[in-house]
Amino acid sequence: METFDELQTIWNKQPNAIGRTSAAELIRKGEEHIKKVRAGHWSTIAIISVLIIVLVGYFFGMRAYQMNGLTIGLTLMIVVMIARVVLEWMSANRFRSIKPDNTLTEFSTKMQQYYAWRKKIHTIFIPMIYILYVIGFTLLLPAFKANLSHGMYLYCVISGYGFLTAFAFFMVRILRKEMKLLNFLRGLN
Amino acid sequence: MDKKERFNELFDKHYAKVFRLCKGYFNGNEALASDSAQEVFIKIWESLDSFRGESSISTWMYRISVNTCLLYLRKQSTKKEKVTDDFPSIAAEQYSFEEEEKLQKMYGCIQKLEEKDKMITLMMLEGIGYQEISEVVGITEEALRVRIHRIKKNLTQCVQHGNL
Repeated sequence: METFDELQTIWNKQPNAIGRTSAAELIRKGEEHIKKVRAGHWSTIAIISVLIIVLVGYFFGMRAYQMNGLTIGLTLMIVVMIARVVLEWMSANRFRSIKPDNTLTEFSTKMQQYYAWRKKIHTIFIPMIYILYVIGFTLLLPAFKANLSHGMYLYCVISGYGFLTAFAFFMVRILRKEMKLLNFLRGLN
Repeated sequence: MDKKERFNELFDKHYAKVFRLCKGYFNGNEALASDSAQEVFIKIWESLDSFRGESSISTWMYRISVNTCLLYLRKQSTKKEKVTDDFPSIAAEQYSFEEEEKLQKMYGCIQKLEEKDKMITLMMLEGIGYQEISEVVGITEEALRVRIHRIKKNLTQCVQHGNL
């Protein structure tokens, strides 16, 4: 008959960690990571700012009385792109606010709340954004047809809808992965 | 003591334990244990300035370790199958064949536990005190004692008979 103490003895006899790293190496990686996060943060702000400037500039440039399919379509696409970037930025901020030094119970609860929120984004906001983007793109097509050669027009239609289809599959894949994680976290508490 | 000195001290004192904690969580996979232990210490470096001393520094560090290991694989789900299929090859000279077999069984039995119990077991096996484990997990010490009693019984039974 085995006792737990015997198992503990066997466990303790394991060799120690192989020295694959050093404190200095990890400090360097940590500093690199901090810089990368900061750069990502600022580049997101830069992208949003540029998009907003383009949108505002576009409105002033085109003037309201010139509203047509091209204007509405492009505006719609730009607006939903901004909405998408803002949502991702909010998600990243929310994720960063979950500190890894919470207790396991608190951490898993907060993570669960985060992924439940992501589920709402994936199932409500992203489909809305996607549909509006498709509508925006479709509104551009008559202008493309009128101004581009037939070959170029076909290229725009095929590559545009092709990209949108691939993007839909990509989003479904992310949703599935995150829902798996959400179910795992729900099982914890 | 400056940040670097403090980090060096933590690394020297706790890296081996964190590595083994991760190794146990990843079914003995040393490559994953090494990668995740590195991630733990990178997070420790990044968060060291925000440590306010509300718990002991080792408790704070084990919280980061446990939470990092918990989500490490889930964020990289493609590696999941590989880990569960990989059985640890423990070719340590200090083990007899029988002991090596038992250690492998232990790893297998730990994988069968619920996630929280898995973490509790690994911390307990690493000799971390009950009070500290309860502060890492976020349950009372009484509840932890009850849980550990059950885990010990189940784990011993599992190593002997192969089922929890």
